[in-house]
Amino acid sequence: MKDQELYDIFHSYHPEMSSEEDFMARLNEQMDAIDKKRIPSLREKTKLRPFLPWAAGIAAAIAVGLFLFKPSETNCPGEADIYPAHQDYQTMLSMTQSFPTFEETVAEIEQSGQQLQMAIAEMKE
Amino acid sequence: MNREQFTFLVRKELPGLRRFLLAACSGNGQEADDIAQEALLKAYTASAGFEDESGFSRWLYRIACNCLADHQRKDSVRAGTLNIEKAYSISSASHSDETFDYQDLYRAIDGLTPGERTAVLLFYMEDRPIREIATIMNTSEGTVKASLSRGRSHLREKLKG
Repeated sequence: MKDQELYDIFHSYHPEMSSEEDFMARLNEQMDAIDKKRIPSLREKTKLRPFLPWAAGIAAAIAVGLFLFKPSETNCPGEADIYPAHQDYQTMLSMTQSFPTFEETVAEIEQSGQQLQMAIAEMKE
Repeated sequence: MNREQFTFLVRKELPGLRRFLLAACSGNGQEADDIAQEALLKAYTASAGFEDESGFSRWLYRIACNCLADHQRKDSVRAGTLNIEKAYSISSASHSDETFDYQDLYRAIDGLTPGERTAVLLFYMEDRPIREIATIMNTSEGTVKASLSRGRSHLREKLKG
């Protein structure tokens, strides 16, 4: 049997098949079922979509905030970056504590000296 | 690709695809149509990201061949030797005369391995080039040529006289 004869046999194969319209109707029904499953998920996505610019805006604001309020670097290599710079540190301390004046410090030293002298005298006795 | 485009392309391919599957299923119209439906639904599900209309036919036949192979694998009767009686009994009564007309052809096709059957039908019935058949079957051109050669010998032996 030649190759052409095989071609002829297969090309003369025209079996009677069920209606193409029935086939397409069945297919359309099943495609409808697939679409119904797809559509809710698409709706959910479109519901989220209006919030996306808001989410992006909030994220950008947080990023900008972190950038602006990032603690400046310290001059001391041994000091961790999270500590504020020296000048800021003093400013912060002055806000929470009151330092003694020069006179108060001199008086405190003189008092300590007198106490030391008295203690030495007691020891000699 | 939207549903309208998909349906339009399917309508063009449908007669050939159904005929191919009917021959591959040895005239079992119900089984052939079930495989065709399954393949088309798989294609439809994946069609959203498919834009290459010129390659639609190849793509669709590839899916159909995979579905056919799955069915043949699952069907333990088909995995063995010829069971043509079963196929004929399933065929509707209205097709019985015609099934008889193609009895020799179906018997010859049924004696082929799944790979030989697909290659022979795509080559002789669908007039597809070997390169395209290799793409559809996801194999090399050499394998397709070998399948065709074996299938041809088998068909010649079965159909002569």
